[in-house]
Amino acid sequence: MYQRMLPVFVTEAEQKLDEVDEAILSLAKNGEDADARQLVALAAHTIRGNAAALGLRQMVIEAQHLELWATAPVRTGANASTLAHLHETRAVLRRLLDEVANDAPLVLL
Amino acid sequence: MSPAKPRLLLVDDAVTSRLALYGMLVGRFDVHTATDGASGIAKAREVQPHIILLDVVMPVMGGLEACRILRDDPATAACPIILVTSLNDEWDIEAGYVNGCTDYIIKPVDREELLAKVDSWLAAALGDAAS
Repeated sequence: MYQRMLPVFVTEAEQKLDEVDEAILSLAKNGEDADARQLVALAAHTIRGNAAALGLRQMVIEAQHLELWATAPVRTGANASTLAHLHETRAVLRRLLDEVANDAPLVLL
Repeated sequence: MSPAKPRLLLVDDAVTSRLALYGMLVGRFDVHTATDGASGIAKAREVQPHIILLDVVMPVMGGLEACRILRDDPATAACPIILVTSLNDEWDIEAGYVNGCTDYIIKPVDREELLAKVDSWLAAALGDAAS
């Protein structure tokens, strides 16, 4: 199943990381943007669940970092330090996905 | 003529997850799909599934709210609903049952566990319907 699902996973994860990028840009303008935080939560949750199904453990861990931040019950606004952390985690996810994608042709969803 | 397959409604927003689950189920069930809680409710009312697999974290409407609405609707109240989600702490599981789920499966999904639970709840539901 892994080989069959991989191209679908890569394409969907690319889309979700684009959504995270968009949300981070919104949070840079307004650290209290609840919709942007929700977008991060949903995108990270999808990446985490899908990566777990394919046994991509490091991606699960990194996506969970994003999801935990976005869903934490006691939140402060996204300040510069938080944004730097989000950028860094997103960059790690992008790199991990690129590694996976080298083995998987992209498909249209 | 072979008997009709049980109707199963699969509600999950993630394409990868939906395809993986679909692949596990399609040979044995008449699988219908939806991509969020609201469209899942509409699809459930339309196709009257024998069982529903419902993700929890979804856009538009999440699985817990959808589960509650399906339970309150006489047309779907008796339908077994299995939450299939990567939320795995005890509070999440408790919230699932509080909102009316019949069973709970944690992703990544084990095919044998999934089929065993679906078969078990289907047998119970169809037995109840026949008696």
